[in-house]
Amino acid sequence: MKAAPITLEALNKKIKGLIKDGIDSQWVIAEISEMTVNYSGHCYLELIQKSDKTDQIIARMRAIIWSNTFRRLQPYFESTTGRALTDGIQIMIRVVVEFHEVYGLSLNVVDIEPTYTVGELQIRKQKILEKLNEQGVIEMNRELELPFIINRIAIISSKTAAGLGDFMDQLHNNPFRFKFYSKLFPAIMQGNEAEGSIIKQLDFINDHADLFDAAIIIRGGGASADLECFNSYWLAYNVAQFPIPVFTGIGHEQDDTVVDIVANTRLKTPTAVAEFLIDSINEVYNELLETQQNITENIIEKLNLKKNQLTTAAFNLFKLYNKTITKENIKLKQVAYNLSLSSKQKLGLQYKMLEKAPGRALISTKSKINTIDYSLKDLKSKLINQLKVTMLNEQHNLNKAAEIIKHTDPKNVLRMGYSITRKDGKSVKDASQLQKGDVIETELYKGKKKSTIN
Amino acid sequence: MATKKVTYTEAYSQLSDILEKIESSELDIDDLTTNVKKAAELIKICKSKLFETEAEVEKILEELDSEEK
Repeated sequence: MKAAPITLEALNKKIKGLIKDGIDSQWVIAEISEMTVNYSGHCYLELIQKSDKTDQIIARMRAIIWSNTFRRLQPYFESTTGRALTDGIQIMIRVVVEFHEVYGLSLNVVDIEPTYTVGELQIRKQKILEKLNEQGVIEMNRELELPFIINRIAIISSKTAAGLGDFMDQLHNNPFRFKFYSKLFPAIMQGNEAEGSIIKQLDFINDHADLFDAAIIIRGGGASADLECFNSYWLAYNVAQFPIPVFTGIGHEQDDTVVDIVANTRLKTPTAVAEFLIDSINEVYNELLETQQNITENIIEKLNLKKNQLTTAAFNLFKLYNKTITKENIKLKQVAYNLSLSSKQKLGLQYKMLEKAPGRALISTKSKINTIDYSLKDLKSKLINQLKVTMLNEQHNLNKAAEIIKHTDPKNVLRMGYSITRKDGKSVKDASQLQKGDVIETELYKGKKKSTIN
Repeated sequence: MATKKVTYTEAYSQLSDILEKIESSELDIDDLTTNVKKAAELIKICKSKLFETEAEVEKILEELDSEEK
């Protein structure tokens, strides 16, 4: 027996009721294959699941994130994962299965778990790093020694990036006025085209690698948090094997991207890159100044040493000169003295002879003789003086002796109240020499007296 | 001038050599003068590498543009 047919609407309502009652909200893992956001801010997704083995799609479903939910979920997801919510990524979402009579089956997304995607990306990153490691390229750029001076810089960035202008300004208007040469190689810095665009510019720089000290990949902050292109295997593969050091200033707070990891020097922002470059030149400059000062100080020290040696030598020479002159002078005086003693007459004769001799010889000899004559006179007066002094001294000594002698005359002693006692004409110096009845004679300053001892 | 071709690294290493010579050995006064002159020249080269624009480098970098699409 056939049951009475129902309307399509009635059937759909029946399905809707079954689904609503039968399936609770559910956490689901899926890949976004397509994503569009319409004018009113609702986000429409095409979710798929691929076979691990064959990569073929084994499940598909439409999903929607209503604008009020999407406004909340999108920034939450992007700030946590450091990448855009876009097609090609794995997400974990809580969905309510809904059936609409007109629009059919779809998933209403009510929540998202970004850490799942972070973990997924981490695993992917890890796999890329392992692969680069196995290929032996992962350390290649990191192991490049930074040049002594990094002032010729190839920049890969978006022409319109906000961070680029700041970077250029900071670098070229640095307070020390260090010279930098920079060349921009514009590239797309986010989205699906970024990988190819950046690699193309890297290839171009590679062809002129000798013109640059370093290549710099910078990306000014901006709104988008899409850094997935910097986790690309091919980009990392190119950066790792780049012949000159690569710097990154991609401007993100999240974990390092694969490109950051393989780059020679990883810095957070374009500003940090500019600071690094200026500081590194400043370091070189300070080293130069230090060397300059060292050289100057050393030279001053050396010159002072030489100066002191010269001064000492001059002083010694002067001392020696003086000594010699004095010695010669004495000799000369001696000669003059001898001359005067032995041949004053001869000298007189010579003097007359010389007087007759013409020219300079005469004058010089004359003056020599004058000198000798003067020395002789000088010597003579000195001798006289010396004699006078000696005689005076002698006189003084004599007087002194006379004084002493004068004081030792007994008469002078008696005058002072002493007396001399004599017995039998001999002076008595000891009272025990005298006995009772002895006659003694006492001599006083004036007169003598005889007396008997009792 | 030949000195223009010297790189900073080369000039600086020569400068360090001179410093070492002055510091260690007893240079006689004539050698000292020669070395001081050379050092002054090298310092000038190094400073110019850090501060002055080499037109040659700028020109080459500018010319890279024409190759680019």
